[in-house]
This record gives sequence, structure tokens and C-alpha cells, in this order.
Amino acid sequence: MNTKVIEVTNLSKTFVVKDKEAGLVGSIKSIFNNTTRNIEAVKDINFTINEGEMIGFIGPNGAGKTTTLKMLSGILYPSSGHIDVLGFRPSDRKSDFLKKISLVMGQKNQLIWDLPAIDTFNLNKETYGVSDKEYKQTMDELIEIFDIGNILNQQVRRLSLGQRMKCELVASLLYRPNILFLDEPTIGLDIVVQKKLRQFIKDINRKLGTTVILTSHYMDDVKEITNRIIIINKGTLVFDNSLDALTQKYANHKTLTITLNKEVSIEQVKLLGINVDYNYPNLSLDVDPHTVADTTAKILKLFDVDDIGISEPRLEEIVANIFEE
Amino acid sequence: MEHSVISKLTQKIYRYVKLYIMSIKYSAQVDFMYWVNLIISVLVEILYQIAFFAIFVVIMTKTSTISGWGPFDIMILLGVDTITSELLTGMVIVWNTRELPTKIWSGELDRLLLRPIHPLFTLTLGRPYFPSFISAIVGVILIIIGISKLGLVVSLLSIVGSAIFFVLGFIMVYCIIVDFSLLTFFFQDTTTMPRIGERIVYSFTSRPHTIFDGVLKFIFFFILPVVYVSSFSAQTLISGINFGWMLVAIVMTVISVFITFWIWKVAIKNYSSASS
Repeated sequence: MNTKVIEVTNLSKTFVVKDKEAGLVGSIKSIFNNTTRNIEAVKDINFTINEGEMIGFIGPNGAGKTTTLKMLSGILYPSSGHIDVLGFRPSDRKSDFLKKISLVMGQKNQLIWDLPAIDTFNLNKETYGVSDKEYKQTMDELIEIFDIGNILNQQVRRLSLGQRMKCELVASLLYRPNILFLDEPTIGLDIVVQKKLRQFIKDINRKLGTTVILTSHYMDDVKEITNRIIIINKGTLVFDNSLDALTQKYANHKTLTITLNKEVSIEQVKLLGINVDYNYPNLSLDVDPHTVADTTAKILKLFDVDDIGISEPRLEEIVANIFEE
Repeated sequence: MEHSVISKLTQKIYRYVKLYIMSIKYSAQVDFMYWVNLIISVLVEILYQIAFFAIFVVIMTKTSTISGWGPFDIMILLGVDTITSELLTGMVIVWNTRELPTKIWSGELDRLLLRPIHPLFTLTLGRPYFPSFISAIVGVILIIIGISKLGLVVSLLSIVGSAIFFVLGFIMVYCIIVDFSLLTFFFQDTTTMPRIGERIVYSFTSRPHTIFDGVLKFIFFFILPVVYVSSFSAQTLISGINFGWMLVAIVMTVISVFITFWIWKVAIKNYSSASS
């Protein structure tokens, strides 16, 4: 049976921001004329998340992703609506609640900069009230998963970005939180480290059963890590389902990639699909998903084909289309 | 039931003390890593105290008493106040309340809000500044000289009473500094708020409480209670405990703590974090 760990009902968050004209005159004017306006960062969103799920929470900059994560973790008070995380109201920030969640922010660190990472781990052990036995067991496990045994005693400021991110994750996981919020965890990391980190996150979910909610601008993170996508745009939830469902719903074409044995005219090709890219012997064109079989048959009949492939549009493309809508 | 509440409270206090000791240990580790800075900072703090004491000597050569306090009474008061100001500087101000505006703007506060300990603890006591602890020793020396020059035989009861006034007064001035610092939440574009609290405390804790009359007495005894920490502690060492004022100090401490937690609650409700 699926156990619900997060339930969000009619959640909204409005920020009041001050407007100020540029320059010194603008600053002086703002003293006497205090202009403010409301920004609705999150508008009436609803969703539930079950234990052990891996959720990709995506949207363009300023969509409300991080604001939602901050409300789910208790940093921000909602303007209206209701949040239930593991039976707690996050904004109460009860100690028992905070011991069950963790938020890793790719752009902010919790490690003590001038000391070795092991000192932050020890401090977190005391902060979260982890017993010696449990600490040793979890640390052994995490050191193995993240392969950080050789850098534990190295000053944090001397670690590479990738090593630091691994240590950030260890610091956030050593008390075995039930829910892990990851806000842009792979930002700034090179491709190899990104890939490894994704694997670690999957391992954590598999081995520790941790529920993972991830925001990222890298669609590879979303594709590789998550099994469900929630898309938020301009504060509104626009999609909540699996990656396959997303493709089915929003992929308005499939791409045929063909290698020809014999040159044909561009006019002939243009009759078969759109977005034609032809540079003999390579040809690619987009076709309606419902007519892929027919179009493929036609191409095989009309042209001398060496190779043919059918692909879905890239996730980035689909998501960009949704944002543009 | 009552036993379980006491046991929970004891466990909580023990946990916070343990965390504070760890913070001191880690701060010392960092400070000793940059030991040249540490030595310079300690020297600066001690020179500041000597300069302050020199001004006092100049004043006392021109006048025999200040509102009934003789030169060596004042020396004891300055000794207690040196400990007060150095401990406040080291425990609360330098790396904590002064950094509070930056922590709010940068969103660093987010991380502190996620820890299962009260964020006020981490924000206002999280990182001690070592040099001040060392220069607090100057205060102890002044107290010892003052007592011996006056030929006082200080009873254990007076020492305990003085310590109680000191702890209560310290909590009250801590609350004043924190209250002003928390106003940063409402006026985010300023680093001034923490400084206002500091200035009030630094400027008035070293004054004998007997110099205040009328409105000023009401303000510094009940609105901004700065007189208890140094002046009442010193007076207790010199002439014994005044139980009436101790009761007032207890009540004022409870009110101060209550106000600080109330401001914190309102402030954090309005916290908008920083953009990611």
C-alpha cells in the first residue's frame, strides 16, 4: 500500500515587494513614496507524494519551485492553503519534523568552510541527536556509497566542487531523513560528477527508501533520477504524472532520422513532414505521432534508404513548449 | 508527570550545552588556524580595556565619588562591566548578531531554520569570538584589585548573589541586543539595527545604577534593563544582596525573554528568504 508522505492542498504564497526607481533620486523618492506590489509566487497548487517516490519538480526560473520546496520544508509560511508532511505542519518546525527531512541546496552549503568535513558531520550528529551506533553504521554506509573515505579529514575549502557536493549530501543524510529535498543539486558540476551524483541519489532511494523531491534545470537529472514529474509554471501546477505520460500528452511530433543511399529532391521530402533538415545522405524530419507508420512506409517505398530511426522529442523541447504555452 | 517534564528540560539543557561546547571547540579550531589574527585581536581587546581604564583613572583623580561610589567601588564595577562587555562581544555580538542582516539577505538563515534546535540559539550564540573571552580576564583582575584595596571580606552569599544578578542581567542585555537585531527582519536594507542594541548596552551597563533618576531610572531599570548586569552585581559584591531588587531582576528577565521570543515569532513569520 502506498503511504502518503506529503499532501498539499490549495497552497499559495504571495510576496510583497518594494518598487524603487533607479538612481539616487529614486532612492530618495522611495522614502516618501513607498510603492509595493504583490507577487504571487505559488497559486493554489495541489498534489500528494507517496513514500519512496522520486519526484522531478521542474519549471522555468521564477516558476515557484524553490518557494514550494521552502514551504514544504518549513522555511517559509504559506500565505494560504494546507501542507501536511509526514503528519506535521512544516511551518511549525517541530524538532521531530526537522529530524525527518533534509533540504540540500546546490548553491548554499552547510559545511564548516575552514574545518574538515568530518567536523560538520560530528556537529550534525549532535544536532540531530543520532546515537553513536547509528552514526557509525550510517557513516560507513554513506562513505561507501559516496566514496569519500579519503577526503573526510581534508579542509572543506580545499575540496573540489564535486567532492564538496558529496559531503553536503552526506551531512544531509547522516540522520537518515525520510524525505530529501534537492534544490539544483548538480548545478555547476561537470558532466562526469553529475552522472555519479545521479547514481548516488538513486542508490540512496533504493537502499534507504528515502523519498526524493528534486528541482533541476538539467533534464538529464529529471530523466535519470525521477519517476514522476510535477511541472510548475508562473506559480501554477501545469502537469503531474509520469515521464511517459508527459511525452504522450505534449510531444506533438516524432523525429525520423534517415540515411539515404541515393540523393532525392528537397521538394519530395518536404511533402512528408516538417522541420526538414536535409544534407545528403543525412535527412531528418518531424512527423505527426499518429502518422509515423504511414510516413515511414512511404519513405521506404519512395527512397533508397540505408538506415532509418524514430525518436521522441527531447524532454527539454517538450518542457520548453509547455513553458511557452 | 512533573518528573518527566523536569527530565526532558534537563536533557534539553544538556544537549544545548553540549552543542555550545562543540561550537566553542570548532571556533577555537578556526581561530587557532589563523593564529596571527588571534594574537592581534587579543592584543587589541586588552589595549582597549587599558585605554578605558586610563580614562577612568583620569576621571577619578578629579572627583572622589560618583553618586556614592568611591574609586575602588567603581573599579569593581568596571571589572564586572569588562567581563559583561567582553562576554557579550565574544558570545553574542561579533560573529552572531552583527552577522544577522547578512544571514537574512543571503538566505543563509534558511539552513539554520532547518536544524532541530532553536534558530535563535544558532543565530545569536552559534559562533563565539575567542579574543574577547581572553580579555575578560582583565575584568577579573580589576575586581580582585578593587576588593583588596577596599579591604572587603566578601561572603559566599554575596558572591552567589552577585553571580545571580550577573546571569539575570546578562540575559536581559542579551535580549536587548537580540531584540534590536531582530528588527532587521522588518527593515531588511540595514545593518544599523544590531548596532543600536549594542550601543545602548555598551554605553549604559558601566554606569552606577544610582546615577539614574526619574524617567531615566524608569527606562534603564524597566524598559531597557541595563543596570542589573554590572552595577547590581558589583554592588552586591561590595555591600551584600538586595533581595527586593533581585526579585525585580527575576521578573524583568522573564519579561525580557518573553518579549524576545515574541519578536522572533513575528519576525520569522514575515521572513521571505532569499531568491535561489
